[in-house]
Amino acid sequence: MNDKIKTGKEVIDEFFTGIMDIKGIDKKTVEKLMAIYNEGKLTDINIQNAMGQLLQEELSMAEEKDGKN
Amino acid sequence: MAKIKSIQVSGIRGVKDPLQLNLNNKSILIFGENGSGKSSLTDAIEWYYLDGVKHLVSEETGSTKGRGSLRNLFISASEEAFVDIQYSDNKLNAIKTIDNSLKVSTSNTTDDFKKYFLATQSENLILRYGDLVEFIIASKTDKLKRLQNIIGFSDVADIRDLLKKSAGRIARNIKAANYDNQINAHQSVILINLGQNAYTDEQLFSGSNQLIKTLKLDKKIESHEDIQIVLKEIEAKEDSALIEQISFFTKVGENLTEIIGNIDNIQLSYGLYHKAYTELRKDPGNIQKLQLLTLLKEGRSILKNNVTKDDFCPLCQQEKSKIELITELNKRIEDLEELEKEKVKLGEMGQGLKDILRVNINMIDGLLKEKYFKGDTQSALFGNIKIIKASLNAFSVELGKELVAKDSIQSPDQLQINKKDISKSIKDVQEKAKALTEAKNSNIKFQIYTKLFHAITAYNQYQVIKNQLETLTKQQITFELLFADFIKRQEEALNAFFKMFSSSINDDYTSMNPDEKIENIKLAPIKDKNDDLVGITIEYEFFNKTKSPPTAYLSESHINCLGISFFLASVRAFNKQNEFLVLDDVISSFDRNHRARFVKLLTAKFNDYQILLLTHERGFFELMASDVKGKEWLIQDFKWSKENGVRIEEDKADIKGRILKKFQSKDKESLGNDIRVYTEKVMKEIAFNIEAQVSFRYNEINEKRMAPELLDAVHARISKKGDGLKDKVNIQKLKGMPMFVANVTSHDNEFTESIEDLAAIWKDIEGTIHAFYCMDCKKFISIEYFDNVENKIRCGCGKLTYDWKK
Repeated sequence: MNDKIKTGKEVIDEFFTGIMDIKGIDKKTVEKLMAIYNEGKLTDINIQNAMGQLLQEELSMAEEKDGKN
Repeated sequence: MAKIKSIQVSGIRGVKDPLQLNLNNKSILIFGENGSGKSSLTDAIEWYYLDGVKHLVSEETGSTKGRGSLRNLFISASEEAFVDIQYSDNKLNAIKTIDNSLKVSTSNTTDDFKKYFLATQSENLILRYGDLVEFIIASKTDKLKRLQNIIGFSDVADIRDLLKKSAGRIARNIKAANYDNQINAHQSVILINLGQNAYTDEQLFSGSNQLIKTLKLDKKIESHEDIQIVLKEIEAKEDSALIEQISFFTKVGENLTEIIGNIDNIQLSYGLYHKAYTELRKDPGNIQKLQLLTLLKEGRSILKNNVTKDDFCPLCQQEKSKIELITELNKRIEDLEELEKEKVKLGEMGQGLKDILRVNINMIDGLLKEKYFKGDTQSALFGNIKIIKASLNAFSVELGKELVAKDSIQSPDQLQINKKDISKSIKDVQEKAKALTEAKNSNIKFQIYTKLFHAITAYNQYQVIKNQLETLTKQQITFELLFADFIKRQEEALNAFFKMFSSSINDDYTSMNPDEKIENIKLAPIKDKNDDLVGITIEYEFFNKTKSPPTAYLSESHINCLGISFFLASVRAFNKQNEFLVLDDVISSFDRNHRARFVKLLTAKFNDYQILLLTHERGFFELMASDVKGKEWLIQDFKWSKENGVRIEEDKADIKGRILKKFQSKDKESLGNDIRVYTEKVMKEIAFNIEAQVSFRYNEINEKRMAPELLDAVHARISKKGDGLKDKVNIQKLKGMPMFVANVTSHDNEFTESIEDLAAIWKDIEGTIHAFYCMDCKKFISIEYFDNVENKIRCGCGKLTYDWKK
């Protein structure tokens, strides 16, 4: 009877394994999230920092692109 | 899966001297009266696995998890207290010790053991009476938390919360920044200067080319770089001060446009906050009651941890069932937690509005520092902007007021920001910028430069805002999608678990309560209005009607059955490392029928498990003992004495073995006591077999017969009935031996006899016993084998025979 039951770890592992296949997601956002998860540092403050960092990277890239135009 | 081969406990709780249980992977039934210290064994196992003992934890000992009360009071400081468990898998054998400074160490440091030990942390190995109904009467949120802990779903719940929180926070940031408003402000500057909006580079370049057309330059603008080249080409250094001034007015206009665009949002948000605040203040008593929440939770924790043993309220000392008390506390705590949730929600609303206000106030502070405000020339504008800041600050002041404050916060109509005045200021600064630009009417180049410069500045700012919004929106959508996917997975897994677990609980419960109208017991998820899983309840059908919760309808005995069923379901589902479990006094509230069915449940459905079953109830012990006889269970009595702490009631073969060993090694320590205990045991059997009469005593007190009383009874009986025996044994001589000239209070006295004296005593005792005991058939002579034709008493095989009067 236990075979059908997934442990919490299995649920989490399966989620992160298939995370890139979820339709409509932004891959860069997910990559940042995965990196923190893989380091075992998935906390609220680390997510905030990573998302802030991603925003800055995106703005720098856009600025660079505009500069080239 | 591991079973226990042997367990030795020393210096832990009531166990002073080493207590050894040689289980050899078998189940054991242990009887011990209240105070016999049998639960010391359970405490020892709990500490071994969990590094603490829950029922020993109090506020004072919280940090040590009860370890401060773990060591036996009578062992010396230098003695180590320990638990030594030998398993069916030798690799796991380990001794865990705790010294006088409460330093703990474990002998097995292998990776195998570490892995095993870590995996056991989520297993359910011990059930005590005090914990029996913990899950059943827990609040819905505690039930969810507890189950999630057991099945390792705490991490799942944490990740789910993180995803939800992240999506929510990004959405709030987007709202607080009011990006649309910022975009409008920048576009309005572009429109004023370029004569058209510019949302794309193409629109910007096209508008710019249109603007510079009259200058008839050779250059056509096709890139941002081209704009910079053109600006450089038409720039006049002498006009820089004027341009700076125009920029100042443009910036003021732009910022005020942003602020005015936020005002509706600020006022709407404040209106909602005011409504929620007023609603919560309607019953001030409720808010006051929130201060009780911590006290009620602490009270519940005291009851759950069995700090008080009897059924009474520890606060008012009124007699009341513990289950009822906990159930009532759960209800009050749940009500207050609902209220607290509303309070937290209000706090979040307030924080959201504070964030919006902060952005706007910061913008104003930035403006007020502008150098053009230093002199008196712009004092009117300066004053107007300060008034806007004061209006915004007024909202912040109201948001800082406590719910329990004497006066309520101001109503939305009392806090108005004068949009007309702001609009007027915007118009003024735009006109000033225009006037300055047109001051050099004849200088077309200057006008075009100024317009192009402000248009490109606003466009760049617009681009930054647009990119920020795009990135944040992508992040928000991503977190929302991840959350949706995750809760789907979590719910699927939880539903599968609920189904399996419910079925297991239902099976065990109904096997202990057959022919009752309680059916289909199941764990049911509880969701809030946002469809979020917030708790679990237990439902069942009673006369085909769904009922919940169990405490409202079931008797204590039935609730306890449910508690046991829950524990057993947990064991089946989650114990992957260990195939043993400890049940400590779990049937106290059961009637005879429930006890019998519980015994059957254990022996029928859990016969693969090694069970350590402890009880203080003689009736249940005897019932269980008769059922498990022949099923390879061990049966043991625990005793407690001040001198030795908890010890096992040994059988006579064990004592005899020890006596012979001591003679062999010439160790006379406690040898006299051992001989006395052994003789008492054998004399009881002899007295029973020849029907020697002792005075009447009730139940277990009957067992407490001292050797002199038994020797007297045997002597009187054989004097009367057995002529042959009378000549063969000298009971009076035994009675005069030093270890029998004693009473109950000197039970474990030391004797001063030499080993030789003790050997002589032992020889006499053995000789006497052999007169009653046949070495061939291993049976005592007994009235059961009385030959009433020959008038002889015999052993089982008939080799040992004596005359015996009718």
